[in-house]
Amino acid sequence: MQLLRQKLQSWVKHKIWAWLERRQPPVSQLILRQNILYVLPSKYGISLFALAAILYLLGSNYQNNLILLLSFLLIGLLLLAIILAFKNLHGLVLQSGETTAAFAGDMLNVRLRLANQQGRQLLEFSLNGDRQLFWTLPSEVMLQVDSSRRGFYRLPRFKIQSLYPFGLIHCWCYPALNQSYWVYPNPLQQQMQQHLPTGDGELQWSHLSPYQMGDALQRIDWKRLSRQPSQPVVKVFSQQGSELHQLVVPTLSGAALEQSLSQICAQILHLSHRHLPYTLEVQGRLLTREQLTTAQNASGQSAPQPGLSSEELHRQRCLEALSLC
Amino acid sequence: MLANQASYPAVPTPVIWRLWLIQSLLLLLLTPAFNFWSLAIFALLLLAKLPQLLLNRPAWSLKLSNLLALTIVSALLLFARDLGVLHLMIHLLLLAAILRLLGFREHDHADVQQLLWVQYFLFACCFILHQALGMALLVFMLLLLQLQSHYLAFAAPGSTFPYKSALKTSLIFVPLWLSLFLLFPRIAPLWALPGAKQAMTGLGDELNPGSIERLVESDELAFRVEFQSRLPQPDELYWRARIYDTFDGSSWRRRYNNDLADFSKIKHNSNLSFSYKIIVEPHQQRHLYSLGVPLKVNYPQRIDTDALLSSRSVLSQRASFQLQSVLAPVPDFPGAKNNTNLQLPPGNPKSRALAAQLAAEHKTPEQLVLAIGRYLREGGFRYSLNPPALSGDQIDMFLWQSKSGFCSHYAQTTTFLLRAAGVPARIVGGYLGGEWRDNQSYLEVTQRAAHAWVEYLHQGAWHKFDPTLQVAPQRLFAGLEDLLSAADLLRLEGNWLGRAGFAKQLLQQLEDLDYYWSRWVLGFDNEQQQSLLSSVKNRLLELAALDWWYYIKIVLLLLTAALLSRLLWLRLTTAPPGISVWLVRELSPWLVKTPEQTVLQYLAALGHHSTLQQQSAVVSAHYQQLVFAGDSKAEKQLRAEVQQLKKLLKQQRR
Repeated sequence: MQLLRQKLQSWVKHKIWAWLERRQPPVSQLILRQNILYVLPSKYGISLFALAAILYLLGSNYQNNLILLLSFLLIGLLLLAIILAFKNLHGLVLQSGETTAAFAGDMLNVRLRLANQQGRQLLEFSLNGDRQLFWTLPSEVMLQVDSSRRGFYRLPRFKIQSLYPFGLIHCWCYPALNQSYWVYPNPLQQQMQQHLPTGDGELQWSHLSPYQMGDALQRIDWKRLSRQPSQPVVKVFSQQGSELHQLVVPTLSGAALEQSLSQICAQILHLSHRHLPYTLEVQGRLLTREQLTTAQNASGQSAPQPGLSSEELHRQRCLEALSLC
Repeated sequence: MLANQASYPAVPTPVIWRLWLIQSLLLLLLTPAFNFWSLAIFALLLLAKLPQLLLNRPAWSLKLSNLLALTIVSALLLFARDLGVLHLMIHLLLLAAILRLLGFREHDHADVQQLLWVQYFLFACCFILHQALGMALLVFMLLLLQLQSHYLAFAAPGSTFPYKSALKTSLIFVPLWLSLFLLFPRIAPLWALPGAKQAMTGLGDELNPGSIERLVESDELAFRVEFQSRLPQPDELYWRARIYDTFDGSSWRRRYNNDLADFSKIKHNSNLSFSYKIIVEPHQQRHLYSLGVPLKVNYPQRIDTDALLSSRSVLSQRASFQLQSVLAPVPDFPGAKNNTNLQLPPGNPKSRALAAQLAAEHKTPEQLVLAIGRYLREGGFRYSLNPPALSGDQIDMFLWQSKSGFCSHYAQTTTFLLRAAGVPARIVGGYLGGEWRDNQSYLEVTQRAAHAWVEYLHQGAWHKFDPTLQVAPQRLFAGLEDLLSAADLLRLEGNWLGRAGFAKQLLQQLEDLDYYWSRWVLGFDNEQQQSLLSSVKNRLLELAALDWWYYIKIVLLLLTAALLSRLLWLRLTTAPPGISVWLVRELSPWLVKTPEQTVLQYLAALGHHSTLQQQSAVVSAHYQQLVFAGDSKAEKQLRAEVQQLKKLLKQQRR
């Protein structure tokens, strides 16, 4: 019986979700209007309506117009609360923010921008059991999303609801935004020591090379720059025995694949932290840092964020490739 | 997912203070329902909340509250059962509210929800006990405080009550509320409910020399009447209320009469029929008042075979009803036992002898009545509010010793003589006259107008005879105050007010106000609702009879009014400093301005977004001219261009 009820519930929920998806597809900017807002009396609203009905009977039986006035006052309050509850949500503008990323298992917050949010009270944003009640609305809202599995996700449909004012009327909506986020594989900490260069070797000066966009500023040869301001050069260091690390994702599946992805992820983090060069081969596709300068954003998965150095961009692209494979 | 509803922050302390204040004032307002002990217990319970509020003591536990509730409820049921059902209900409701407040949990919103619910109910109980204008206004003011606390309990903590927008909202709310009151269908009372138990006032079940005098001492309101027909003359204003027909030698009792009668087919002179509306003050009894013979009444009222009006239940709150009656002798019902109207206890031999002598001289009851009147008029009798006490053979003593008395003395003496002479007779208790108020728009009858007179049976009908008029004929035309001696006047209460002209005027104004409150608010019933609806319907029918040109005019008028108010609204809301706000608001459906954008950047972005760069550049130019060059003439152009841009954007959307 319990099972049947659960199944029925999940079936209904699924149907509602599918209907919402058809009716209200995700957009990048959503204005809450009457076609997506739902208004129904809350439990307290129903009980107060019952009180109004009782008072109506009482007033009729006592032939007491003042009690009838009180009863109609409560009815009027309910009608008024419908309008005010609707107005509390109506016209709120939701805009998707930038794409965010986190490692699996870490906390991941997706940022939403709000506009026209003044004068609204007690709105609750809820997503997957995470509820946030705002007394007054800020201009940005962070929604905590599920980050247990790696991948590239769209922000799930969430819920905005309010019982303001009087707690009599429940007004809510299920907005969906074109807002995505990355969940990178969880970097595996223990085993990386065996596979990685120890990293405690001293850095050795290797050679000079012409400055490229994205090179770290502290590596610019400042003495030379003062002599030749038009041709900046950077010092290139290398570790003992350092060569190009070639990381390859093995053709595995299931738990084994996850395990190796986690390891590679940890390696990428380690290497990029030490500014060591590396390449990544995923399913026959080779990702190198040099590709970035020539063919920008070949995968087209994620627009490079301004202010990222080429090294960081390379790292980001590699991690994204790991998330997707 | 659909079922779980939004959560709430904790209830702020100012709201708890307000709830406490409301409960204290409710206890004060509901005091008539309490006895001394229960009042003391409830006051103590309310005081027990103060340490929690002032010293931050923890709220009472559920166990303690339940234990206390159990104790107090059983104590009430054991010792205070004589309070009556309604009063016990009020006790229980208020007890529930106070105990809930004592164990109040700020974080559990179910508490504040239940508390507010019960308090709304208690407000209804206040209205059962109080309906006079002043008290009702007080209750409504307290209700405003309750609404404010209700709002604050469900608003963001720290937010203040938005008085300004509440005022604006009330512009919608009050018409909605009143139209619900005026137009929502009424139902007839379905069942009798327990009323408030209070001391009876007005004419009692028993009449003895002295009972009317006690009534007359008070200036309390008995009822008020508004006539729809012609105004009656002073000698027509005999308000019948009760009949006393069983004499035991010292007092007269009423016979219980439960037989209903219908007098609607009585023959009558249309000049002597009156239709009027009566608003009766609660007197905790069943009897009502009417002139002559009432023809027809609606459900909760009824007419018995004595042509007396009564209510189905005890009158514990102000009631109003519409009535039509005719000034005619009350027809006698053959089934009624007339021998009780001849019944006399033994005693009073001298009076019996007098009656026998008069009966021998005068054959018809009419002549007999006139003879008795002549006897009283010429016998040196005096009208006094303070006659010597009677004992033993009361009638003999009055006729031959004291020779001074009030209306009840004359009525009982006349009835005794008539019965002794073999004519069925009875005493009628009621009111005589009244005071016209507010340019004769209504008649106010106070206890001071209480009166007793006689009805005797002649040719199958009961005829009225007022022996008091034989002694004090001015009683009809002048108020009681003018008839009585100075010593008697001192016994009337409230007389000091009568001397101060200004206070009297103010008091009368207040009484007038209270009357119209009863007439239009408390007395608004099904019938008035029907007449309101039919008058609205008639108006609409009149409109329907007009030709189409009138409709066009009305539509044009409405359109201009709407347009003008819209223009006025725009003028009020968008003065030049706010032009940027207006502009952004007008265009926001297409692109929402982010806070960091300037208006010009926003316009550029809009142009880019919609590929209407040209038009948005025009708007931008006008905007710059208005705001930066201070050219006020550009405002009109700017508005026009913005509208143009909107038009283009709309076309594009299609």
